[in-house]
Amino acid sequence: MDQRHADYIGYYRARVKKYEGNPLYPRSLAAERALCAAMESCTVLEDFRAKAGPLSLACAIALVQDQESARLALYEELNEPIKAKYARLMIEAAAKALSVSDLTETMTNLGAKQGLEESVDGFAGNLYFDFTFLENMEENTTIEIGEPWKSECESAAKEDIDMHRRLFNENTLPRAREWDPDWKMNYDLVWEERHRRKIPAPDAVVRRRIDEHRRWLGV
Amino acid sequence: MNIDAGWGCEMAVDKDLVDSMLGPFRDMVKDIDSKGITNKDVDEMKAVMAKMNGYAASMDDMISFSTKLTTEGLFVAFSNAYSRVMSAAASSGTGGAEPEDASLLAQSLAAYEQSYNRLKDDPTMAHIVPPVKRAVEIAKSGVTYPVFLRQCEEEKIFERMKNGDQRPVLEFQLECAREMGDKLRSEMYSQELAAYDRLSAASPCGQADNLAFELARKRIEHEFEPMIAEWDSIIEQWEKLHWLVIDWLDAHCSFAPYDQRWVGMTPAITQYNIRRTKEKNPARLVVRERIFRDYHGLGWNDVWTHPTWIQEQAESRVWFADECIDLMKRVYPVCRPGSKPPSDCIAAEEAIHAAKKWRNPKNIARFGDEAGAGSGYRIRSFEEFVKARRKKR
Repeated sequence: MDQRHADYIGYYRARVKKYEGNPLYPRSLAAERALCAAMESCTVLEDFRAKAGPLSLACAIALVQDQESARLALYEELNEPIKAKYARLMIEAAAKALSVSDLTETMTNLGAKQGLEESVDGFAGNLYFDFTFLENMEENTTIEIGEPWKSECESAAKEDIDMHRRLFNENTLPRAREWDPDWKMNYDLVWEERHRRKIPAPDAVVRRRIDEHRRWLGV
Repeated sequence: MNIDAGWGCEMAVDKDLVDSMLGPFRDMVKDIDSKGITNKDVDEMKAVMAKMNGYAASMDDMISFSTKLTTEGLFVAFSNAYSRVMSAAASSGTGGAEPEDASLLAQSLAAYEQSYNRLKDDPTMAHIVPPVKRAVEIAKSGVTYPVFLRQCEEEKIFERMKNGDQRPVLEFQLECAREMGDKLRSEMYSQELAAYDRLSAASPCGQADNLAFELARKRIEHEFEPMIAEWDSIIEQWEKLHWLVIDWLDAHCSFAPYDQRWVGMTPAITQYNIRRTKEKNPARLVVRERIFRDYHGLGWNDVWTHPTWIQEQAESRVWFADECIDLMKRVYPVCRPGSKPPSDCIAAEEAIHAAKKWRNPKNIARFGDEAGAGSGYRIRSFEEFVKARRKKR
């Protein structure tokens, strides 16, 4: 074995060491070990060239799968289904990659799709965003007061409804449909943990606000 | 394919914004053209570029334009094609043959040296400079390419470059949250910093693994997210109650007809406005108290010992002077439909107004008033923070 060959073996052994004892990277450790073993088993360094390509790709795939598996475990624990879905898709797609650049491109494309889906999912936050409007409506429609203030409150409520309907139909809806042409307000999403946990009010209040939002905006 | 499609003409969306958004992509096309590269990936890049320019020319709304580029995946399509072009160019540069170790080492040295020269004078990049500098030193030490790679692996230089030292950024966000008196975010960032230190201590390269820290950070932020939402909502709700009560008291004071809250086009309108506050606010208070209770199970009397109130007071963020708050507390029990504030409370509030002492002096000192600006939140730039941090060390 010449010195150059020995030096390369030293390098691949060092790469293996990087993952030893780190529970986040089991696939990477195995893939790096296989790459290192291939280098060690070569009689001459030139023999390694034929083996290096697929093994290097295996290392890249293993790293992506290790990373996404760790993310998948966390997102499942935190009940984040969209993020978990894409981590799962990335693990599956990585296994089919034909080259490192194919792997990179596939991950970039999936990351972009995830971004889109999360943006559209985030529109469920419209409900909590409108809580101030709904609270003002509660004030103007349930206030116990005599005239002329009662009529004034009713007028204010009507104006508020008109304004927010216009805002919803002329702004919120067309903007959301630029992201998803079929988008419509899906109140079921509000009850999913990732959205529900961001609304600091009990279920009874949220249920009431959904009814009001639907009714007053004509959704 | 002509990359100028829709580029040279007048753009409908703001040209400066479009230029800043598409400029880097146009530069990449120019770079490829200057190298004389032509292939189907270059065609694809130019087709995507033409599409982006076409949208810029035909659309008149910047948000819609930006959304269009995102939803059609044009940024990603362009970047993918560009990566393929660059990757093919790199391979063809070696004539398809495996490059020699010496040339690989020379390329690595050139790349790290270029990065080092670009980063070394930028204080915000101080945390990434040491591993880059060390890579340059090893590459220049006369070792061969595989030895350079081994040493970089053994000294965890690639890991340190990949991870960067995130501590300065984490310290900075904690400093900002503390300066703003943001209790929960301060706690959250403290926990993130502690997690980072814990992971760094356990890491062979002395810096937390990027992935491990990303997971730890997401977990911490996930835990704090609902607490922060609740905290902000509680403050918003009690602030509304306080204004309803103080406005009601003030509407009964002699200064009301001259106060901007009520002054109308005619004295009659002004009187009508005052009457509205006097008669309506007690009824509005009933509703707002109900909402506060429905949301958070809290009432008027719970506010004064609640952590949100204590924190807002400690950070001088409560607008009202203590004397006004005392009056607010005294007036609250009678702020009911058909009632009016006690005359001594009205007199006391009038005296406060005559002396212009309705605002908390600590709030004025911090946030200023018409007489001048306050110190506000003393948040320095990240660059200044890093410089000071380096000096301290």
